Amino acid sequence: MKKVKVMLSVLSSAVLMTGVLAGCSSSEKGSDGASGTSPSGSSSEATLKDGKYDPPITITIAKQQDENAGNYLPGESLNDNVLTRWGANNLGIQINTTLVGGDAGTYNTKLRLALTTAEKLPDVVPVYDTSLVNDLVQSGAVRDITEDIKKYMPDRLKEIYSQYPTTFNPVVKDGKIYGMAIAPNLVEGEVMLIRQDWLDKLNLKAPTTIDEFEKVIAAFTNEDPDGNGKKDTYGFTFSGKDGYNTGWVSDPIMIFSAFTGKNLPGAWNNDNGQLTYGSVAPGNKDALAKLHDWYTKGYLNKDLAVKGAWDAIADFTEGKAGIIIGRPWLYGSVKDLEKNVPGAKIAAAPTINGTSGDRTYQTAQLNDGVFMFNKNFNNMEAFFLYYDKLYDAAFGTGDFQYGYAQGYDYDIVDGQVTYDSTKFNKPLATIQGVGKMSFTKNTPSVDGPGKSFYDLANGAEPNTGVLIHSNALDPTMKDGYLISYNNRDSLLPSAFNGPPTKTMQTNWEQLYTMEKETFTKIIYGKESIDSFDDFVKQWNDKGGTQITQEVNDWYANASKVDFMSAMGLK
Amino acid sequence: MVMMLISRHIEMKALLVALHYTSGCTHNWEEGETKIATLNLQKGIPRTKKTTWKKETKKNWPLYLLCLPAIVLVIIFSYAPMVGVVIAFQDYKPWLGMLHSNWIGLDNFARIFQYEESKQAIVNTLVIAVIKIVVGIVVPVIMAILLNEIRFMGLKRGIQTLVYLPHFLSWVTIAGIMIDILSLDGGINALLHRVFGMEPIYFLGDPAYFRATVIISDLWKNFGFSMIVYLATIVSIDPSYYEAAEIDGATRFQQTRFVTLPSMMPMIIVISTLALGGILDAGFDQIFNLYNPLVYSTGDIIDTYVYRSSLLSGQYGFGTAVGLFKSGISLILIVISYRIAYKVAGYKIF
Repeated sequence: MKKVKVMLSVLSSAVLMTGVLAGCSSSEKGSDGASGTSPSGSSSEATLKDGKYDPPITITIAKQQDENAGNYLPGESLNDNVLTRWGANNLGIQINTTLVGGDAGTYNTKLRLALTTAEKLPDVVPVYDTSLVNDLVQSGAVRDITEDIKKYMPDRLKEIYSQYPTTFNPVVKDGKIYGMAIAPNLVEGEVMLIRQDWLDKLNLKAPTTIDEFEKVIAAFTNEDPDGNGKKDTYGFTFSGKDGYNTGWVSDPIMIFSAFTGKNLPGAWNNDNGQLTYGSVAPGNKDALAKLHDWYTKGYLNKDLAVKGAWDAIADFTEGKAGIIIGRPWLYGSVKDLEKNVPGAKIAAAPTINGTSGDRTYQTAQLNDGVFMFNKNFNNMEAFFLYYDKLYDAAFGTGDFQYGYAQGYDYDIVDGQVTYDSTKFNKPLATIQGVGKMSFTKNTPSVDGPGKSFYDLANGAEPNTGVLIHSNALDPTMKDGYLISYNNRDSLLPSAFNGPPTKTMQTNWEQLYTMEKETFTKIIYGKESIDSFDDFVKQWNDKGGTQITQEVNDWYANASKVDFMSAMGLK
Repeated sequence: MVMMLISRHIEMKALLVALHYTSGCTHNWEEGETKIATLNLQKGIPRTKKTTWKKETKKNWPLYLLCLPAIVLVIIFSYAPMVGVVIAFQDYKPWLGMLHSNWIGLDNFARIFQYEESKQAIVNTLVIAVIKIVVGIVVPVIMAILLNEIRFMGLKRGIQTLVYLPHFLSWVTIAGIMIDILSLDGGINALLHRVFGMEPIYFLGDPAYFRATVIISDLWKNFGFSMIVYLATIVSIDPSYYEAAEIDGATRFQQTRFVTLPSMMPMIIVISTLALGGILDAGFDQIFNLYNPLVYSTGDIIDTYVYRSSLLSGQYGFGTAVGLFKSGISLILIVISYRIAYKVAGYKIF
């Protein structure tokens, strides 16, 4: 009996131990496998013949796979899908994702860990965080691509990159270029989405000045625009949880800019060569006073401080709020309103003008992240070949004239190109984002803030993929893009886009916390409007002055070096 | 007078029973009654060192072998990574690693106390965590005792399941619901207005209410779990003590006061001592999902502050310093509370 017991315990502990050891060894095997499948070193032996590598080569990549990009058709996956197969068959280039992160935080952490000696950095690394870009540049683990751009970048891409010299700022160090923007393009700006049916009912027009805006939101709040006899509507919804310049949806940036002009909260303004921080500009005080006044009168979202950008949309979609600001595509997210509330009609309108009579401005987005490359990756030619092909859809050339893959992101039904996935020959619930299945998180675009919509409005025939696609959108969204394009001069890129300065690294969070707290408290009336002056003083004392100095030093240096000619981009 | 003596007696016995259950070793009743303090595991182990240790190993080696996987796991996953705390004293750069990063002494620790915001965060953390610990012990104990009095089994089980359920929801989900029902024109405020005619309260946007909101919602989510532990302790009390108490004429309330509560005491002490270790954990998940700029002054805790100021930008040195600081405080508190538990209740956990 005792023997049996002993045997049992030996056996069970042995089983448990193997479990532990197996855990270790399998994870080791995993990382071995990952680096084993990336023979980027040996790939240089492969030669490029008629646009195809023979023998085929492999490029390993890192990927932030967020929920928008993570849907594959049954049987397809991260490393085996319609685009990777296309690349392998047509270019002889196999894309192999060896580092995947879900949300931005996880992805950044994984990349930082890849910097430790134990891990291998993939060949192509898209980076979406400026301080991480800075870490990578400093680590010496990424490649100086100055020569590569000069030698291998196709001309049509060179033309694009030469339009956006400032996008290289974060990746320049000592005159060397350690990366390049991912598909740079002046992204569409925000427009006002407004309840046209409410305007009509109250006999109002879409506002164009701050006074008209006030009149409209007052009427939306007090004059029962939905006609249900209850005071359950209000004028303007936006989010105050994550600062007042989200840049995509639910921000009140237009109200601030009406008083501050080009000084936008959260962004740096270039005032004749002198860089200043937008949130401490004097005009903010008037903007906050206005917002406070509106808040107390009930014109604004009561819970704006607790609502994130995406949550603040809900009141508009439910028919409680009359105005929201966002990029033109926001219409797609709120159009359910027109289905759910009888008679509801949404219209797109330009952002209002400022108190000085000038237009109001917004922070422009030129690119989402930068490409960086492993120091030991020596096949930049192959990368540029592939990257250039991805632009085919934007230019309407080559294999990707209408889209990347028929039956995935477009289809031809009865001789007509369609982008409506429910009308495909083999209908799909949602369209497949084929352009996002390799290096890029978004499909590359050369359409600026909506050039195709401008062309269509001026009578262009929808005969290219981009034009057909744009033409197929909802009329309200098309209006929005057209407004955005006509209003493109209002888009100002932040004048500072370098790595965080020394004082920024230690003090920025405190300053930004103070900023969010002060702004929100003034709007809510928890602090007097004059506390803004106190905030500006404290901001300067607690490191703001120092940071402004450092930012200006950076600017002086950045504008001195002519890296563009070194890359042949002039 | 007689009554008091009797209750004393019952109290003692109950304590012994509890000790019997928790320490898992047998002991002599008579001896135990006089020297409660000496009661602990060591009693069972023979004093003479070398020979007995060998004998012990020889006799029980299969049992030690069974422990081995657990020990190996603890060493691999808990002790080996501790080497990493050195980065708390470094200006850590991932590509330089622990060996080559610059040593900066205590700079990272100094930074914890350098800014008003971080000091405020420490105060907030302490206030929120202490109240959470206190109500997190008192409420489940009371609920367990009350629930134990319910004779109707179905109802008892039903309540038990219902209060336990929120424990399995994640804070992201709960926060989404809370932001909605606690908003200025949400359900709770509408109810307060209708019933009491109160002005709307900004539960999540008013610094005065934010802590209470956080603490009560945390209690609601988690007390079911501790309650079940206490219920199990109550169930394991030897019924003969209640019988004895009843014969001695103790009322229902006296039985609770002199049998149930003292029997639960060891478990309460264990849980509160362990909870003290988490005194600098005010609940990152919860606060992160609920807070906003309006309530930084009372709601920003160490973890959220560190998350915003260093983890997002990859300043692992500072993050580790804060972690180490928190562990240090926890260790001190556990040691102190353990000593107090031993002195006051004569009870040893380890």
